[in-house]
Amino acid sequence: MVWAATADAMSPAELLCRVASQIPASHDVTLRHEPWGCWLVAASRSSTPAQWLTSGRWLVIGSPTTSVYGLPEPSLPLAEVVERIGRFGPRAVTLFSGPVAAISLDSGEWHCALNGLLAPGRLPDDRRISTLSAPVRDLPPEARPVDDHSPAFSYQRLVGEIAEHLPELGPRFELHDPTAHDVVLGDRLWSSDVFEVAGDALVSWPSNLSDVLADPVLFDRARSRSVPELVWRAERAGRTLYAPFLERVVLDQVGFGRRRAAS
Amino acid sequence: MTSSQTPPARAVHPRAVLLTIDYTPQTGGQPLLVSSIINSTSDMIDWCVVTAAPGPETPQVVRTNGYLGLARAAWGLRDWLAAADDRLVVSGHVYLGPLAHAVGLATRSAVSTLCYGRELVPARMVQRLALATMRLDHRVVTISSNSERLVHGLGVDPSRTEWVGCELRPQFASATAPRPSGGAGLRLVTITRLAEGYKNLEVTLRAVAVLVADGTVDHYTIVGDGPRMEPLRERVAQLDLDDHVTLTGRLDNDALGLVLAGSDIGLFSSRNSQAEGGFEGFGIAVQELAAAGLPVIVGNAAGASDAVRPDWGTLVDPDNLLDWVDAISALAQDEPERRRRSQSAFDFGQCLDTSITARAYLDALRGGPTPTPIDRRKLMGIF
Repeated sequence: MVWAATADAMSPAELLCRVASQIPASHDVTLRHEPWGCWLVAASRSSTPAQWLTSGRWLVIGSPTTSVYGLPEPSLPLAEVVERIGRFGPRAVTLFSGPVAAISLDSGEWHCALNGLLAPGRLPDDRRISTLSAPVRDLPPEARPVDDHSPAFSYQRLVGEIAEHLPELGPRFELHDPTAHDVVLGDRLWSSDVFEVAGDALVSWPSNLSDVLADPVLFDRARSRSVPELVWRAERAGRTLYAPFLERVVLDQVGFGRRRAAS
Repeated sequence: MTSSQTPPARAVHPRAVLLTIDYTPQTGGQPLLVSSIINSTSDMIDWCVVTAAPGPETPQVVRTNGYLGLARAAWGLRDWLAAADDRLVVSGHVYLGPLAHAVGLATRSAVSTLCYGRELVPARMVQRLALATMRLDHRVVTISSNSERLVHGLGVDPSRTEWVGCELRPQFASATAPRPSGGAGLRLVTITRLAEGYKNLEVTLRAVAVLVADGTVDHYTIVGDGPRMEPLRERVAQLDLDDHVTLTGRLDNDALGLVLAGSDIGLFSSRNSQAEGGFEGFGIAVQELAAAGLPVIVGNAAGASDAVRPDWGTLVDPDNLLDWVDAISALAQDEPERRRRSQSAFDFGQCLDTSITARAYLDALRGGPTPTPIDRRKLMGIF
């Protein structure tokens, strides 16, 4: 339950004016000026543990977990992310699952987990602003699936592998937004295929997942538009969305069905 | 029987027919194990190998093509096999089980099966049917406890199964250990076939991408060849690791020995992939790395876990990138421990003896008393 934005060469007041309408009313806003521009974090007052942290020259946001499949439990303190960044540099953010990102307070540069749940995007009407509510996100290049071939690989079985690690899903939690288009991928309404799990957490678990994983165009759209949109809608509903099918263990396998066997 | 009906002279030496798909000069764990068993036990038993693997033919090895070719060649060995009192048919691949049992029935021989791993998870009905014949086996011998569990899951009586670790002495020349620290970042190495996704090299490449940033790792060498070479090169470029990762392709034993002698830690990252139905039968490469005097970090999955010894191996969750980074980083920071593990690994390698392992396999395949055809009928539920 955190939202953030950065702006290059812009004053904090100007950034606030440009994004104020997007910030949920229940969120407290923190705004800071930096030599390169400014940053803004908005978080729900009821968030525990805290979902953002500044330490040294880093701002870390999100709800990282130690689950390989990016499930809500077991959660990980943000201080752990800061500690790894201190030891290994910003690429250490890619070690973590769940929604997590780090912003350099020296440059305003974003570094996000491979899942891209908290990847920023530029506002179409002002390219100086990077936010978590942009319609299209800039995904980390090292998260792009590589076309590959592995014998006997099947997308249905990959979905089965993920399902084996899911906790028991609770009732559906529909993330419809009457002011926006439905989140449709393939033949499914992805905003309907969201389920409650422990606490405030939601899990995106689309019923046409194997078809989307197998289709490079649809999967790219899921990563850069659909799931981030659901993350943002969940945020406004006071929830945190997890997407196990976007975690490293899946991203690194998705390409296995995309190349023909070598003759 | 009267004296005028003297039976033909019987072969004194025990005889066995091995039916196998893989065999030398093919490379890989299965051909290596099977040929080691044949070569190391020929003083105990007369073998005849029937294989679909191409290569030079010898009096001991009949090479043919396809299932029908294997069937014809095996059928032609009936008289040779039946001439021995102590005889055995070994199915070197579970999918050859029905053929092995046909020969076994015709010659009244015991039939045993050697199992590796992945073939025990059938993808098609015909494979499932072939696996069913294992329930009729005299002995089912697996190369790891994981494979043995799979065999039990297929309904084979646990009293008829045994696992023997596939511990073979490497053919490259081992360096001495412990090796001196170079002072710079660590040099990591993996030996693997680049064919299947479950080898999970993506996780070690990503770990290296993080660890080169602070100088913990200097270089990572992946030894092996296969159709995934090109995608892996693309992955290396994507992670901006061109200066830190070398994909050598296949190396001969001398070149492999040199690479290992210049390395600090071995990595073996295979996972249990449900998406491929793929996993490691044992992980011979784990022990090859150890025999070169390298501490080895191993993904705790399937048969690879059985290849590790705690005094030189570290088991991690193969899917957990953070665990890989932490395990490599821990060894980097504790050089005395790394040197101790290096020495233990080297000592372990000095104790590896292929002939002892091969004889253990033969003992396990022969097992207890040979079952009679009546036993076989009982096993099939025919009374």
